[in-house]
Amino acid sequence: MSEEQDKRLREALRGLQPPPPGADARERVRAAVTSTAADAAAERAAAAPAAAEQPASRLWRFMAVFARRRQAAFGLAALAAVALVAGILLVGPPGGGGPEPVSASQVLQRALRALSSGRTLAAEVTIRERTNAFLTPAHYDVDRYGILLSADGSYRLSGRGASTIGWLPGVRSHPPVDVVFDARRGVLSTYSRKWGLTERYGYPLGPPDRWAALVMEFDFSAAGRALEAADATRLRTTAYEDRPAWAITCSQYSGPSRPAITDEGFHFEITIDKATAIPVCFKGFLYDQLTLEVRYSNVRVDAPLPDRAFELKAPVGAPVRRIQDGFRRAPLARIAKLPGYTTLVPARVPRGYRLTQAAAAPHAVTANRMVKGRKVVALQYARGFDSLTVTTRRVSDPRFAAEYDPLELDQSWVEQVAWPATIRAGAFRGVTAQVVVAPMTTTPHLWAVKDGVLLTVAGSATAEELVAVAASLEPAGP
Amino acid sequence: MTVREPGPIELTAGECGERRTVPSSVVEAARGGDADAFMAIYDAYVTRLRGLAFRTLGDPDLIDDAIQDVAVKAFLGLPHFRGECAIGTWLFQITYRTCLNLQRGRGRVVPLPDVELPADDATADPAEAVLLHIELAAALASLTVAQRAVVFLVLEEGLDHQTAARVLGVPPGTVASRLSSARAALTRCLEEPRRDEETQ
Repeated sequence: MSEEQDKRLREALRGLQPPPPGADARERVRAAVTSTAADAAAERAAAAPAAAEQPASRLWRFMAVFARRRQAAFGLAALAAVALVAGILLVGPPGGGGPEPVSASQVLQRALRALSSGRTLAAEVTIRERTNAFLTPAHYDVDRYGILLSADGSYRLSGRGASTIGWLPGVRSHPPVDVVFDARRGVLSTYSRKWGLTERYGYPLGPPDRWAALVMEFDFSAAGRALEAADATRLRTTAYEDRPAWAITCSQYSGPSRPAITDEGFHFEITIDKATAIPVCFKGFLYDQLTLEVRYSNVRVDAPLPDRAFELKAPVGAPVRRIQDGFRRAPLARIAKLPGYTTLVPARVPRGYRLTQAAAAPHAVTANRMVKGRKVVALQYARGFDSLTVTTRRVSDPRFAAEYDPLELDQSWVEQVAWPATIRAGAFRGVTAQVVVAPMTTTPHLWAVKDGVLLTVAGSATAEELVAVAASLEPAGP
Repeated sequence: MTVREPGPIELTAGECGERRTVPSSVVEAARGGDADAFMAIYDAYVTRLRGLAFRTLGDPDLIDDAIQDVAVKAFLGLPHFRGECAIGTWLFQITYRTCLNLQRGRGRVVPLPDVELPADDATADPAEAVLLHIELAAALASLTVAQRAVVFLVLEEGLDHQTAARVLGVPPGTVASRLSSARAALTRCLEEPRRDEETQ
């Protein structure tokens, strides 16, 4: 690229500057620095004169370790937070019964089995997060939601107050917000008193396109897989809201394609109700300091949901926005006849999955905004609360599409964990796919490019199952 | 291209209003725990640090919190700063790592585009509309965090590859490759609408 082009880019970027700092930003920084200086001085005063440098060094090391570990901490926090709900996504026979579990693994499996049989879930959720670990005394932000979930993927989140943590994108600090996803209609609705009602029609079916679970920032299957891969788990009995419970503690986790992440400072704890085997609480700790807590209260599994649980109507007079996201649901046979679209159907899917929806979109940009595609076909398979999405799309730059993960934001992380797999049969025979299945909060997925068509398979499946699906693709019949 | 390292800056007033000289005596005072001296350093660099934070985080709502974290870390670390690089480079390092951790911690937060389309418009492509409205922002968003940081440090701040590599903790060759792919992606995103029209 020429100097002239660089200059044009620089000029264009100059138009995208950050907003000015908040009115009290400098004062907040000054207060934080002053407080830190006082803490450091107190530590120095308490130390022996000969070791005057030690406290600051230890403190700095702590800060450095925290900064380095924060990724793992938040990753685990997110996955474990979802594990509470996520349990319902994992397959297996109903829980309960049988001999008393004696290991963390057995308890986890029992919890997953118990929850996997659920068809609906209702609960109150309280999330407490320590937002600034550098300052004392600890300060926690608190978000509260009511949650309703259905096995078809529909859900409703009802804000119980202003969100301070901002777990729901775009609703931080706004008045209470309701979010409803009607999976059958493909409509995502959000309502707040400040912004009114927004209805998004033709919402994408699943990854790598924007998908409804993103609104919750929860990745259920990824959480389950991470927990399955967790090492060094410990089990103890405890009580939760006056009920007997188990607590599983994990201090590190590792996985098949990522080196073990050891973290001497961070650990998390999941509490599981003994009577129902339902996970009810998650806590994340850093050096014994609570950094995040997600509590589920008044959990009801398979209770009848209210009528119109997944409808969201604005009060009379409230502003309404309607947005068309372009994914048109249609029978597979009809989509297969669309000219220019590549409709490939897997002959094999993991046991229990069945095709639930098909959709086509003329254009789409992947959720991480990395890949623009045309003539998109998406097929969604479901197995209880598990889902698996197979998509194809035409891309204008196949080399770019083959190189960059269409699903993940952090490509440098993908470079560490993705591994190649040759697809040995089907329409993509001979193509090398990239597979990402790692114990982070990522949806297991695979992508490959052939003849200008980008293929993705993403959802709750093992790496072997993803490759098997990709190797069984054939053009849809007439 | 002008190459410079973001060290203590001797700029004449008016060349860049926010950039001020940070005398070594102020740095020494800050190293000794003087909060006022540290705030003088903060004032000298905050605009550029905010720029890096904005590019890496992509979310203006997070910048103030990130910069506060950076300030506390820098203040704590200053006594141990051995001057192996310019203080600006060092502050960029802290900012980048802090923002990287924040970004990773957020998980897959994908902001919903705020583009309103008519409800009965069955043919409109909202993604295209988004790109048309926020073309460059979308192009930047399509880059990785590391690529955006390289774009900021090299293209916008004018750092040489060696210094940018020091900030990012990667070899200079990696900076070059990230910059190359970022340029390609930015150019692609900026020009793609025209190319799409040509192919349809």
